Amino acid sequence: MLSRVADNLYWMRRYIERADHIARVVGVNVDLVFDRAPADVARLWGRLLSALCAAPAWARVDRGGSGEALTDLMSIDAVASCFAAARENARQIRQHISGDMWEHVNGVHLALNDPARRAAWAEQPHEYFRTVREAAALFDAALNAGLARDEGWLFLQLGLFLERAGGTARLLTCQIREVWPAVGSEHGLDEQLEWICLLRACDALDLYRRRSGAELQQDRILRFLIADPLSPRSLRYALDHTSRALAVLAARVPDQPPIVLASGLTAAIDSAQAEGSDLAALVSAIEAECERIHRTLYETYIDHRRWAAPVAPREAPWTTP
Amino acid sequence: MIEHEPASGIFAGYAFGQAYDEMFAGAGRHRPHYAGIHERLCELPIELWRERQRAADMAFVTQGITFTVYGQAEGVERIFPFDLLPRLITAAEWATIERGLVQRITALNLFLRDVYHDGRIFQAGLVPRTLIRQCRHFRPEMVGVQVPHGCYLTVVGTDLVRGPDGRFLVLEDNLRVPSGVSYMLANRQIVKQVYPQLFERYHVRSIDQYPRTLLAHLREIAPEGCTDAKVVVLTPGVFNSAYYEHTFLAHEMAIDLVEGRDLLVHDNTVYAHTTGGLERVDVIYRRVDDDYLDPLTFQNDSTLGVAGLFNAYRAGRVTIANAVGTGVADDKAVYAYVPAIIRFYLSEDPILDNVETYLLDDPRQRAFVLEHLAELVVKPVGESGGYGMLVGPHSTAAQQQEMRDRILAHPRNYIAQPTLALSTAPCLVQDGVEARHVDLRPYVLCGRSITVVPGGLTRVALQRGSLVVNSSQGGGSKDTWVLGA
Repeated sequence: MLSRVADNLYWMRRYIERADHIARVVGVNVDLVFDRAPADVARLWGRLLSALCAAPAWARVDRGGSGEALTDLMSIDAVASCFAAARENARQIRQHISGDMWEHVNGVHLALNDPARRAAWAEQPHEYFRTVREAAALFDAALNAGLARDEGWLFLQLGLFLERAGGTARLLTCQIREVWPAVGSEHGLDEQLEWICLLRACDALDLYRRRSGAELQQDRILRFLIADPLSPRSLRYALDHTSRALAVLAARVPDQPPIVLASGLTAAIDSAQAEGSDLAALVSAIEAECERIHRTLYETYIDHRRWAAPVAPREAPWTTP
Repeated sequence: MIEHEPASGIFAGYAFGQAYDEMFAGAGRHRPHYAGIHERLCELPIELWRERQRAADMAFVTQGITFTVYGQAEGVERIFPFDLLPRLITAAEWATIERGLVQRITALNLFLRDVYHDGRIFQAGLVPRTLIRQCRHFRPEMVGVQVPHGCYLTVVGTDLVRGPDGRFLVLEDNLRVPSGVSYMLANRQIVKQVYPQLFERYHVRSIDQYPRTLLAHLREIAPEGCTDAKVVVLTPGVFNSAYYEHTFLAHEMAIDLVEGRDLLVHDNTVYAHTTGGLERVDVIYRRVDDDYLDPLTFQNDSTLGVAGLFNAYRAGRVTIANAVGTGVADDKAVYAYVPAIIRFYLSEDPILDNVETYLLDDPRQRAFVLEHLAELVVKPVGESGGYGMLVGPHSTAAQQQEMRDRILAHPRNYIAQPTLALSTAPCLVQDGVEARHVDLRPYVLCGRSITVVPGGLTRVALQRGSLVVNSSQGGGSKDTWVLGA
């Protein structure tokens, strides 16, 4: 597979996941700030921005300083540019995805840039979040239903799970930084709501209820989001799938050195089930590991030094290497 | 011919008699093979046609079948305007076109081999050697290069027009990187979607085999000794106006679409840069012009090409299709010599005639042209896409004066032809059906044999009275139905 095609597949999937992530967390925050005091509102939006790594960009746009404009400006533009980037990537690999997938990405891109629909969405943000989430889900379904589980599939999987792990890890980091010190003390209703919202932002509220019961305890929620091996929204699950995709990739492309997950990370996640472990440190270790895998992936398969790979011998010029 | 009352209803605005009309032999008298379409047009209300036209336009947008217009705001993607009503070609007409194209392309391929090797045609005094040397697309680097299987031309999109008497004439030979075939195929798909019932009434020859045929021909011309050739499509990239077509063809042929940056040359062998390292490439169907293929040999600031590609090509280690330097044979000044070229190599008379052409470096022809600028069409010889041409009857005195100055400064750079009344075909407009000028670009595929795909791109000048059909100049297209016998 062409390195550039692998690159496009990887980023196409990352951008769709990112669009879904942004729509989800912004949508949850809109609900969360609904009946809060103004100081709280500013704090919650600020946290959201840092979880999306968007604080500096927002500082340039936000003149009035209120969070209100955030939903109709930042999120629509951010999601639209994710879809635009996904479409640009898809456009370059149309022969690797199905016509339906391309038409879907293209259609969503056109809709997100349609002035009439944008005006309507500014009034009805939840309509908009729903549209984006449905679009991402449909895209995922089309990929699952229509693509061979070949090398390209592995780059899609890596794009999905690295993006999801990174996004979730940043959400957790920001939440831990602000709300975690209160562990053990009595929480107000507001704090409890924030933990529910964290689960919703990770699309994991129902998963949590089924796996851990209805009781909402913040450390249990955190451990669930970090370490539950069976929930598709946990960091553990994303890392497991990343690791599996990397192993299959290494077997399919034997000319390149295999990439393996940092040793001890899985064990550290498993022991996080126990009380008293430093969850903040663990989450940042996972975030750093995602970064490292992304970089190594590039060095190994996509941006590798061209002459590092073996060249066919001159004596047998027509055999395909 | 079947007699009808004078045009009315949907045909109220139809201009008869301005040129050969594809549908009508005279006011209200349609040609027999158009009977099915004529009947439908009279039967169904205009609103229904408009509704189907909208559906077709939407299909183009959602499928992202767009092109980029140069010289306008960055990144403007447009759909290629599409007219619902198909253009019909009878089996007998097609038989002539097919024989004529096979003959013409065979001769031009022999001509190219001769130009870059023995030069027999120069020695025979039929084509001046200086004319060839002055061609903008003549590549001295190609002299003496053995092209795999002597096959210079793989994909040709010859532009045909109908003269006033209904005969097809060759207007241009496009021998470099002709485009538009994806529109030919997409138009057919959309017609099938939008009015499948009408389609069933005719026996229309299929064009779906185009990508498979192209791939088969590309494999045929792989370098000597190469088994299981790796074929790729080379695109200038996503900003090229025909990018959609490049992805479409790569998709249909199930081969890699590569950019220059995906390839590299080592020891005169071309490799693609893959996740597993380097993979050898044997045949490149390039959609990049000669100038940009290899910065070491041609334009040295080009980033679209591959350094060292030409050397690998010269060494016979890779096939480039079409071959480098084929533009010399579609130079508009060389065009005037094609009938002589056909007679020289094949000892046959041309089956398809040329449009009468004046060469402006001949003083007598030039004097005539300068006197009659207001009636003639003047074209630059090395350009394509309709850029820089003057359509005499539709030009202002100032434009004519500007062209006169340019001709006098560089007479070799221009040719002139009589203004052709291109044939007209019925097109759907706001309130009914009107006549618009059309041409025809059939596609010819060659490897060790020649295939003329039974169909083509019918381009339409959508502005009433306009004679310019190029997509970059506001033209549109129609589906083209070659009828079975």
